[in-house]
Amino acid sequence: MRRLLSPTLLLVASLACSSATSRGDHVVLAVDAPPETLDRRMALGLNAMRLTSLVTPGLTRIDSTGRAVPDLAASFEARDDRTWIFRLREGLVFSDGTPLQAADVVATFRSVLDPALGSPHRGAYGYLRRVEALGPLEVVFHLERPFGAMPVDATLGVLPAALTGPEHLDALRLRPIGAGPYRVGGWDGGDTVWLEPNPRYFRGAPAGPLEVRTVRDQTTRILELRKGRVDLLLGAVSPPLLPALREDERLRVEIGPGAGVSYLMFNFDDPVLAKREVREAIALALDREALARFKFKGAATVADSLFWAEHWVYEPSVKRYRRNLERAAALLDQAGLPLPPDGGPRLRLALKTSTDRFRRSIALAMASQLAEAGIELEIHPLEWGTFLGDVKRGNFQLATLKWPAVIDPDILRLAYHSESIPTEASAWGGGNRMRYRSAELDALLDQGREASDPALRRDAYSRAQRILAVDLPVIPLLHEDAVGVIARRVRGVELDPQGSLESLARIRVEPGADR
Amino acid sequence: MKRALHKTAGTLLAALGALLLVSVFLDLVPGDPIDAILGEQAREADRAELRAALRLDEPLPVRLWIFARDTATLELRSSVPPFQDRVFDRIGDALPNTALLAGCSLLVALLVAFPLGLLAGGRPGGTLDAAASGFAVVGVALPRIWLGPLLILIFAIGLDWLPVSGLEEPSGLVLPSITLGLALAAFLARMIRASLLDATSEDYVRTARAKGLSERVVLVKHALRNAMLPVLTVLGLQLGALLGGAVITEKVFNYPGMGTLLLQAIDRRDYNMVRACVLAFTLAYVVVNLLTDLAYAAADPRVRARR
Repeated sequence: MRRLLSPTLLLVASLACSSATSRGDHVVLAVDAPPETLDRRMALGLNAMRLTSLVTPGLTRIDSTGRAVPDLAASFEARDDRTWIFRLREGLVFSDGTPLQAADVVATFRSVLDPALGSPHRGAYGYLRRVEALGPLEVVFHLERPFGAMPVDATLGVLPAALTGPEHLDALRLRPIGAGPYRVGGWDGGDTVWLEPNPRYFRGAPAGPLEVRTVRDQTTRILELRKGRVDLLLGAVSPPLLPALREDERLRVEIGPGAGVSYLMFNFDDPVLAKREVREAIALALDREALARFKFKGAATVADSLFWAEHWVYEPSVKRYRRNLERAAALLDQAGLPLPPDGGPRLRLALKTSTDRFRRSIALAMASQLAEAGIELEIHPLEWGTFLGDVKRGNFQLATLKWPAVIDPDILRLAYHSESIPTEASAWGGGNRMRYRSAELDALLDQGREASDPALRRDAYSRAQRILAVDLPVIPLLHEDAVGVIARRVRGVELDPQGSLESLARIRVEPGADR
Repeated sequence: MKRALHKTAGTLLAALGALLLVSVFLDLVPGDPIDAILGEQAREADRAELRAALRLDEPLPVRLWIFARDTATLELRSSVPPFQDRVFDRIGDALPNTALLAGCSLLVALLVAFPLGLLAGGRPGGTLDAAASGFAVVGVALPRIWLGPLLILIFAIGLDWLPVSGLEEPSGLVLPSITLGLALAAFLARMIRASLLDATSEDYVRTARAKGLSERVVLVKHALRNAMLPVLTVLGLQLGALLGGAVITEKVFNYPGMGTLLLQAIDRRDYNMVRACVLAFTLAYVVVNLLTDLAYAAADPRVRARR
């Protein structure tokens, strides 16, 4: 019995001292899952990607318009469409004080290409033929084929050349060395990552340490925030909770444009949906503004393209669809789907979606909107694996999905090029699950991929977006905004469309502003 | 000696069976694990390479053999990129936490259930009995996913006495223990009441009362001790379940135990971690059952004599 008593006493004793204490400069960010590694070359998860960019930045970073801009590089250019040259900033050092030079960049890229390392990104960099240093500050990339999005791939975190071999993998996973604003203060592979300011960071060290704490349950994340044990939630908040959070005076809810976009896709193998009039009628029957207002509590914007409005290739002059039931009815008549005299629906369709409760509620709202246009929508929520399997194999009529982040416009090739139609031969890979084919679009997407001049790329993708808005292989539904819930004492957080954490290096803490 | 051999063989068989079942079910799960790991936007080359690295093309027996070999040498690593997490280190961290939580919730359950059960069983049909039974029904019915946040709202936010989640401070144990313990207590209290009622109608209780013993001594010394056997059985089963990681409670309180570990492994499709967790659960269950057997013997001399 005495052995049972002592933990109880311990508990009672600790009750007295558990109330929230002031943490000063120390800021706590809550995430929904811990990173699997802090080595950017091996990272796959979103949280791992975001955290590694704070510790090991790359030659470029992606800015809020989705463009690759110089980061460790001072500048970059394409000498021809298969040769890219990056010039490093002068005087860069890693957080351990050793200089960062072209040789380190070359070694990092070569290690990713080396099968012995086992990086899951090796295939993605398969277009690289050779990476070489031209002196201490210049790196040249020789490409197998023209690839205009190469600077986006140069975001790969640069590591010290001496540590890039496979024998250092275990050490680098927990404590990578980079030239970023933070260095890893401690991580045991578990739930909490401690990041300390890197005094040698070339833009100046952040004001204080950053604790990245995993809190898996959404309700608990918010309760921790209200308790004051957590300062920041970036993303990872479901829109229905926003109104309650807006009422808490110790918190600020910020909303900015987001790179994620949800969409409704059509199966072109279906004879009815292959008719453009039917697809347009569905687009005109939907009231997406209502979805944004009531389902997303304002944290979403109606989408007319896969790109958010600030994106560098966003084309504002595309054909737009807003609710117009009369026009929808006329189009359905035209497509040979008149209103039956018995009052039944003009058309019955099935929509597949995931079992996520929020997604399902959106599907139900769309079904009731389509019902007003005489289209009966039956909803089939499916477990994620089954859902994706069905969609890939073309076993669907309509389906809703979301691109988590649309960054480089080359993603259009994955989504709409006729070569991206999933087939048995491609092991059902490829994103054109609509089975949409357009020779004109294919040519523009090839042109956009191969051009190294951003102006040429932009032109190709503008035209591609105009074609897509007319052909409607998918209806882009909503851009889901980036959401941040921030303790009042923390100032200077800038929401990033893709959820990048880079602005955390510039935040300030105002003591006393939280209570 | 023979008994010990039997037990060991039984344990091994149970572990093997659980392992086989889990592996077969993991294979039957619809959807491609590669999609779950690499995401939809992955390129074909990476997908093929990962498929090879995960040995997904090889038959199940081969994969199981590799798993068994790495388990035997304790060299097992996570089966998703970066393939670096040492599975038994993770389990070594999580298992003691889960055992601690199980112990504390058991303590909470016992502290609540015994007085309640005694009060209710001592005077069946009374007001106290009704109140205790009412509590028991509510306690069993309240879902932990609701009770947990409610306790956090009251004790961590409203009263500011305890941390919301985590186990950085030892007081982080209190709320999860109560959440888990209350449901168990409600169940146990009903059990104690029922078996106490059975026991009080036995001859020896009448004899004890006839001897002129006080009601307290009759209840606690004579009836309760005999009522313990079914209660111990339930306790053993429940403790086994608690050691299997109280997944929901651990998730709500962000508790660094086996439930959290298992959930994360499932999320990441880390098959090695899932298999190892199931192995650990099976072993924990068997050990608890063994302990329950021993407790039987302590509570009832007849069980001792039968050996």
